Amino acid sequence: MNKNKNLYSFERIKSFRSYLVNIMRIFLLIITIGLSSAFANSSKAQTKIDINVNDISLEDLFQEIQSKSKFIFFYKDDVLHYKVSLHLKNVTVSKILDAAFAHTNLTYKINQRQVVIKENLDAVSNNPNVELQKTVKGTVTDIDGLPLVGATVSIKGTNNGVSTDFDGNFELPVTEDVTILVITYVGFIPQEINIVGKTILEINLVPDNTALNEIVVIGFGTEKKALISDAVTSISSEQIEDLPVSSVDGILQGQAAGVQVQQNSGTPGGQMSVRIRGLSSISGSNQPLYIIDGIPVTTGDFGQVGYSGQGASALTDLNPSDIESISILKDASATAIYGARASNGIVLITTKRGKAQKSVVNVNVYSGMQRAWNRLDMLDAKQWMDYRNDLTGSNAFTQEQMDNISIDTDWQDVIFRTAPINSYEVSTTGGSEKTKFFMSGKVFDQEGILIGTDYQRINGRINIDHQLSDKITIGTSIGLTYAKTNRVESDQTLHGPLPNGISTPAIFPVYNEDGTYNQDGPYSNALSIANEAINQNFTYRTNSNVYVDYNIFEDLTFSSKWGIDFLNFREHAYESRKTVQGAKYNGLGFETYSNVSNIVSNNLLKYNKQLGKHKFEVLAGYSFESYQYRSSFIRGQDYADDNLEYISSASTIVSASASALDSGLRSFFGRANYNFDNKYIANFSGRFDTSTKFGENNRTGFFPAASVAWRISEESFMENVNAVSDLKLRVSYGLTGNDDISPFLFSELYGNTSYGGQPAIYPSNIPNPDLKWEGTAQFNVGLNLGLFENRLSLTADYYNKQTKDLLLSRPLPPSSGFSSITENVGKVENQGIEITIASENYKGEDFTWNTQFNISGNRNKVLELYNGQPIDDIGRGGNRIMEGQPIGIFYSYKSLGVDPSTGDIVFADTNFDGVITSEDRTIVGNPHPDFISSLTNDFRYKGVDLSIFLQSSYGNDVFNGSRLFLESLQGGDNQIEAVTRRWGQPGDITDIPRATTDPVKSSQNKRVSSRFIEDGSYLRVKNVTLGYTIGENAFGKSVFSSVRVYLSAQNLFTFTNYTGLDPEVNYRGDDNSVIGTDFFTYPQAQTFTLGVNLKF
Amino acid sequence: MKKAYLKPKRDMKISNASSSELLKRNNNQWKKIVLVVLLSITAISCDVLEVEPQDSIPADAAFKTKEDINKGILGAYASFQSLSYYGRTYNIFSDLAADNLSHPLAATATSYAEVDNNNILPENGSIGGIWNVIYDGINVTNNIITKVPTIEGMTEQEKNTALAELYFIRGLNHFNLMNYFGAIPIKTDPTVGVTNLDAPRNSVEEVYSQIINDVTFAADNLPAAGNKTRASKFAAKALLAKVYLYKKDYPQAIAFASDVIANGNYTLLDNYADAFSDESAESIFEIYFSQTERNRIAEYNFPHSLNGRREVEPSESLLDAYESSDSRYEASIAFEGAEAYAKKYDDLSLGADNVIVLRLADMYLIRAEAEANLSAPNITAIQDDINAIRTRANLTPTSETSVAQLLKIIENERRIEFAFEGQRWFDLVRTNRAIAVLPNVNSINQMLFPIPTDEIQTNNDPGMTQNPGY
Repeated sequence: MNKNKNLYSFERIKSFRSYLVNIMRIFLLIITIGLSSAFANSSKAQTKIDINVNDISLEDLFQEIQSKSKFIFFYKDDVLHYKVSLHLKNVTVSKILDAAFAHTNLTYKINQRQVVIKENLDAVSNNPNVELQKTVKGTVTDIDGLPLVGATVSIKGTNNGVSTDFDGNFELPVTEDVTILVITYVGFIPQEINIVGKTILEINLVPDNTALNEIVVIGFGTEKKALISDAVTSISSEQIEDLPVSSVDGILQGQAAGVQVQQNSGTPGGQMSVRIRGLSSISGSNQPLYIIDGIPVTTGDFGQVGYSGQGASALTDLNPSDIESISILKDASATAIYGARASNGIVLITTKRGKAQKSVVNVNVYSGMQRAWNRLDMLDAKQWMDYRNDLTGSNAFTQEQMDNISIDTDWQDVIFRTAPINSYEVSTTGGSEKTKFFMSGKVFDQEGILIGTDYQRINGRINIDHQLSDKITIGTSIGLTYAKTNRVESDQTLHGPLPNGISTPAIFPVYNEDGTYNQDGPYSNALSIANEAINQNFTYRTNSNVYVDYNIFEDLTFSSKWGIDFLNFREHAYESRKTVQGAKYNGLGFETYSNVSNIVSNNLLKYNKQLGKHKFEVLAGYSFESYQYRSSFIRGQDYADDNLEYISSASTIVSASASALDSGLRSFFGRANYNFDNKYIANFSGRFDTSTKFGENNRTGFFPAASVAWRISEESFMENVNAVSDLKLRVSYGLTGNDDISPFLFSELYGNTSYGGQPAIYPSNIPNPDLKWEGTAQFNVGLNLGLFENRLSLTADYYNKQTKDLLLSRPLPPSSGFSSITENVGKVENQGIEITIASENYKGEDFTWNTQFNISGNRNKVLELYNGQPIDDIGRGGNRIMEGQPIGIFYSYKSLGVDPSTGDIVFADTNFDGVITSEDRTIVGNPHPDFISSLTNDFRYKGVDLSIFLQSSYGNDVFNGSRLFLESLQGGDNQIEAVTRRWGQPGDITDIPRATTDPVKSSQNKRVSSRFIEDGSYLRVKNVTLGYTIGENAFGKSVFSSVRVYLSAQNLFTFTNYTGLDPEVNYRGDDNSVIGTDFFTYPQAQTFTLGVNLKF
Repeated sequence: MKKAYLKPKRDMKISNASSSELLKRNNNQWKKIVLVVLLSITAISCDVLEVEPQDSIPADAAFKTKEDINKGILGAYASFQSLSYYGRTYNIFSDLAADNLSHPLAATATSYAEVDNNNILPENGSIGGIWNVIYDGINVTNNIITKVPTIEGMTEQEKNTALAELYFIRGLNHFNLMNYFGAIPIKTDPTVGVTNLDAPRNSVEEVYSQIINDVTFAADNLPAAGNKTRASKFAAKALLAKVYLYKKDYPQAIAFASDVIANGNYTLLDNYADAFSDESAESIFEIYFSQTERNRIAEYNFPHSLNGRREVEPSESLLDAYESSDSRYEASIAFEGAEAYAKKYDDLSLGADNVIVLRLADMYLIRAEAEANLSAPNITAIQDDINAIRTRANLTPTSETSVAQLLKIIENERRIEFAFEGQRWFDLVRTNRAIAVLPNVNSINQMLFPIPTDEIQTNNDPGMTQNPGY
């Protein structure tokens, strides 16, 4: 190459150079561009040189500059007729060119080391002869080859561009000097394509998965993850897609730091308790507010036939596969815009919506089996007889009987089963520029591992967005659900198949010789309850909204969204005469209806403005909700025939009632967000809530919050710290409320009843006109750190939540005639740390390995109660609420073990007064975990993907209430095998006391004490999924665009020292203070599923 | 909702006029829609805060007429129906704590086992239930009592009758509490706020005096005739006879019992079992139960094979206490196989049988016992009263003349006559015989149930103390 003539003129190439040179130069050009980007350094343009020339041509000037720097010039020959004289010292190239072109129609563009010289477009347009055009054609697809409709293809640095059509094709006329096109599409990484020498392009856009650019849904809007100043965790649909979990709350488990999700029991379709950053309320609800597509969701249990603790969950009605993303808002700044309902955190659920793309049909089918992962070791018939003889001190069972055992029923075999789980789902999404849609349908069918339980659900969804005009967009989300649950009576009573089955000794057969159920055991025959009692509930639901967005002018948008959550919950129950209950009442039936509707209207004005580096976003909103609850309940008995299970066949209606409840909420809210240069971010929000639940004196509450963030990584001093790709500090503080109490607690009311067949009334509550929301002040400081181009990222938060004016159902002296009053008294504190680490451990062509880990610890403490009075002896396990301790600590007698000389339990005399009284009770356990954490490892090798999800809880105690009966060493209950090591004679050293009929000693031995407190820590291999994706090549584009088969195992292993059926228990999940107690809780299932996912 | 339809209509005209001038034609209709949306927002939202309780009556609307007072009085009766009260536990515990009922080995309710063993913990939930529900009844009563004077359109006499019925209920409630717990707080004011809820225990003497005042007013002001599920003049007098017997004011006990026997128009039914049908001629006062407000007495007594829960069974010593020809045996006890069970209240399915509080047989035995405790008892009168009961039960009359022996006979007759009616424990405690008769009772401390933990913990009055031994 001619070193001195290192200047390239397109004109020259065309005019006199040989084709060979021509090709070499293009080659060189490509190399140069490649190199220049490889050594890209923004400081290049800042290179400063001296120029001292007199009346030389531009060509010579370029050569001069080139000799003093590393710039390379590209130009057309005909631009060079200008002459210039320049005398400049220590200036940048752009300064030189500015001066040189001052009186020309030339412009220039510096791109890395290249300087492209062009004629001014306006000037050119006046001169059509100069314009030289070519047409670039191409197709834009995603990496799977699916065409992207409506992608923007534009000339770099201009607004000139086109959109791709329905097949992803585009045609763009460009002038000869255009070298680079930019292709952009929402959700994909923008791509620049050099078109020099090209006219046909195949462009594959890569989805924008980089965490910082992820768009996160926040209250009444969205925000780039990098720019969020609040504590928000976002979960994408990919993270949850393979979990064989039926409900939304179920998929939250382990996905976010600071979010504790506990399955209260394994009942299919049952309720879970979700706690974001600990328990802040004692008597109010601690469940977060769930919001689907901007509309608050009715949650809770509307069952009226006693299933408390494993109640139905209105959340279960949503199809998890419809979810595009979930945002968990944790700190006050994120949540305060939801005001009086925000204290427990907010879960924002966004459903999938259509895109302007070729329609895609997605079929997902899985099928599997579930079983109980654990069983209890119970006494067999011989051991039982031996124990009974020992207990009664007699030979109730003779040696002969014990040697010839004919009946030895394993009742756990009777009540547990291997149960199928199936899910069939089809969804389709697509649309044009104007109209986009998402539709889905799902059938989910799950049998329970406990006999008598199953759950079926059918979901449908239609989400449509339509652009009416340039300024107006309308849309709707319609979710429909039908669900049917078969339940068995509650864990808590002694009338369910699980407690009855486990508690019935092996000597009792399931059936009598005549084929009828054997009812000789201490409790009703478990199988008879499961088979002969009908306990069904049905949900008919729609959760839908319509919206209109009106772009009033460029920066100002008005939107109005109206939603309705309508839920009809019906229960149908019938116990035939074959059950003990049914026989007692000659057939006993229930029919209940609950009708819940919540109408919501959200109206927002949004204003965005960017002025240089200042960006403002202001939002003002007005919203109101109207909630109606109507219910009816009928109980009948004396049925004409066991086959007629509906109330019309009941000859006696023993109870029939209907009731109604209304409440309303009206709110004004707003937010202002200021962002300077994407570096300094400040956010202010607030809400006024007027709620009918509050007393006359405190109807309206104000909930303000603020946060600031500093993106240190954007500062110039961080420029050379290459390892750090993202560093952000966040601080927030704000006030939120909790209003989750029954309406009208503030007012003096008379309830109604009857006596002697006539109506009667009685004072039903003590009025409290000052009743108001429970207030939480939360401080949060957080850090986001991204290292090595965000291949390793860390999010850490510390929070301190101070809740005061608790909505406390404060116990009153019962001699007042009332057991409690709901008052704003008391304080609770939660503070904790949350850490999330995400790492791309290995990122190769064929193999990738990603890890996500989160850990959080919350410390809960009751700071103040009414008069310091503890709330005592709650639930079966002696939970207590007292100042200075976490909510619901276990407070009972401390067992010192079995006295080797007497065989009786010795209790600690903590006050040394010589007698064991209730004064000797002390703290014997803490149901709150020290830490909860989860770890997910995703591996991908070519088409194979493997995901391993571990979840754990550390340091929580569980009160094993089942042992109160199963280790009682008295009564008729079956006993666990551990009682075979019971104390037998003086000198025996053991942990199990003697079997005795001594009324005092036997009841003392089984009194609620530390004897039944166990360590409930566990580590669970929650899910393992192995998948294989067969690419399009296998089938050809005509059939499937992708096929994935996968094998998934849920609850594969559980490591725990807990001796009960399952350490993850909460037998009264509806109660905040009775926590960590196991009482014949329905254990979780171990589930194996095989699934297929087809796209076409 | 009217507003929602009217308001947008009116305002639409304005928007029409202005929009035609200002807005581009093709956007016009959409802008109208937006306006309509805006206007309906304002219109509908006005209503969301206007909600009323649907299931309860606001206090200011609850008491306006005489009928409202009657509803309130019935509300005060309704607390008697609670399962902790006459609906089940209150009566069962009196037989269970004594020697009429026992807790079978295979039964499961721990709180019942504690009572059977006379080894009760203060946190015993069933005992707490008794305490709570009786005070609930007292509070309802006090609440209505304060409303009576405010009603216009009630005559003075009507007001006194209403008050008399309420005083009867309040007196009975205090009496029932005292019999298990001893000295208790007297409550005569309704709970309307949360101040002054701490209350000391009043002395037994004070409680007696309060009860006697209340029930005497009732006896003076209630009409003689009436429904047996509501208080009457003679129900009040019968209660006074019992209260005076417990208070050991024997002349008064005799006077009131005699008044009821002579003037109450009640009869001892020939067939003992008939006394337990609803509103029998023998019954003086009973608690109403129906299929909707059911009692669970049969449920807890009946054996499993008859679909009961069998938390209690008749004790061996009770079965042995019946004389061979006693007609009360068959009326009180039934057998399913070898399992005996109490059957006075046997409506397992509906629980609709009324529960007797006072009946005529009680008056005879009260008078006999009171007479026997006089310094110069009339032996014949005692014998006559005892024999009225014995003869009806198909037993030979007694000719015993020793007062001490007669008292033993009365004690035994009461045990059998009122078996499973919730009297035995009170009889043994008030006569100081519990330690002598009951194997599990060794200390005088066991003769009172513990004040429930809830009360001790929440009532901060220094005068709220636990009974000794708990």
